[in-house]
Amino acid sequence: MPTLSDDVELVLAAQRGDLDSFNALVTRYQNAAYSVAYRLLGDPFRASDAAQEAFIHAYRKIHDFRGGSFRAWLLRIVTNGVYDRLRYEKRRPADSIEDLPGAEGDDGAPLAAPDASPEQAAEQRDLQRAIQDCLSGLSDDQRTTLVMFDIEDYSYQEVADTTASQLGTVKSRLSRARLAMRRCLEAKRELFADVFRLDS
Amino acid sequence: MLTDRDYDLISAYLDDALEGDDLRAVEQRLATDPAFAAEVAVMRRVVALIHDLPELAAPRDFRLTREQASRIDRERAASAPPSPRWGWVQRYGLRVVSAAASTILLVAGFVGLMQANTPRTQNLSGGEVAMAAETLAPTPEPLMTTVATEEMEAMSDEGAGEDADTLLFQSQPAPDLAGTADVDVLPMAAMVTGQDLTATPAEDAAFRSFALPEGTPAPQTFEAAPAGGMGEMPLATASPLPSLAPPVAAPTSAPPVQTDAPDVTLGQTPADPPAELPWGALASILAGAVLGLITVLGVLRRRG
Repeated sequence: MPTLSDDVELVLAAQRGDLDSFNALVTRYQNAAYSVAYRLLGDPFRASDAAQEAFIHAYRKIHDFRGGSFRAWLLRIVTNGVYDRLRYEKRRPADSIEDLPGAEGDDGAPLAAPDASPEQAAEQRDLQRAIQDCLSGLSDDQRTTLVMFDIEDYSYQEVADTTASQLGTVKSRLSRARLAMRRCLEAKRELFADVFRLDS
Repeated sequence: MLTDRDYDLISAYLDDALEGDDLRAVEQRLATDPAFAAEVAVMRRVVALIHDLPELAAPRDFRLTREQASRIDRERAASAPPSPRWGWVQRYGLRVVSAAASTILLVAGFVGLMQANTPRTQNLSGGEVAMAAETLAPTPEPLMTTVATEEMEAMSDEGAGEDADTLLFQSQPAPDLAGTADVDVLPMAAMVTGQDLTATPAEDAAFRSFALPEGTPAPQTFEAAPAGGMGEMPLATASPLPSLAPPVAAPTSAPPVQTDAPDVTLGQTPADPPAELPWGALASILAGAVLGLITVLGVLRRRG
């Protein structure tokens, strides 16, 4: 697990123009960046493009980094880039229906990080696919709010600022998104028996 | 059965965002309503499931190549803010030059327009100068010309006698005014009297002293008049004369009258030449106004 001080040294070197140091940061956080992009977009190809764009943007703006968590800074770049992409695509609908999540051209959820046993990896893959399907069933506004708050640990206010929404709207969207996920996952009860067990 | 309002309260309760009456209501209901408490537990696990989603393996390597980094470095350098020393030139240089050019064009245009509208007292012909002189200072000229004309008539009636000569000619030095006139009145008087009335300089001076009694203001000079004063103005160019002294038919042997004045007859005024629009000044004003407008719009757009 990389420490904050490790990140700071790499960032300082990258700010001096050391590409290798920047690429060390890319290697360290590319799974996290891709994961956030995939949760938001639900498509491996678009998520891969979004992650690459985010790293290019991060390299271009590396001199603007003023300290703190490089991971959080990077994931905000990913999130903002994806949110802009979603808004752009909302204004311009997809050219082909095969580009939509869940369509024939969709490859489904990617593999989990290779740090688990084969059995665990298979179980995680099924769970992730099911969760991702439910996420993809949310509206863009609900999905981005849920991912920002429940996965990336944004605050209500940070979500409101990023999505240019009112605080009450963010809370309402989050509540609706959680309820929709609950109902979607309940339909796959065989995978989430522990979640829906009858105890309080 | 829970309502949307119940799920809003549960969601906020899970985020520790409830307070006051809402918080107390949820806590009371958790203690008294098992179904509500079970749903709160399910929702807590759903949120935890989403929160604990493992990271995914990136499908490819996102490290930047040297070529990508070099391109980004070039773009970053090109879009870097200007240095403080010359920054103002890049930020304001074009606007300053544009505003200065606009001002120069406008000033030049208005100056040209004013000059075009100024009364043309310069480069006027002799007749126009006389007309202007009469308009600007009518008093001295009629005084002199009337007295002189009456004297000439008197000399003609009396046969230019000794009294008249004594009265008119005093031995005082004076410039030869006749020599400065384009057209002399004496030839015309000679035609009337049949005598040689050419006066000496002293006689001319005496004539002037008689014509302009003591206390009479000095004749005014006019900008466009020939060098000298009103007394030196050629009588033939004074256009009011025809109304005071009817023209006399000149014999063929009389010296020709040299004048640039247009033919002026009683009750008529010289026709003005057609006015020419100052196209250059107008074009300068137009160009300055357009350039100024573009400059202002550019500033507003940059601020906006």
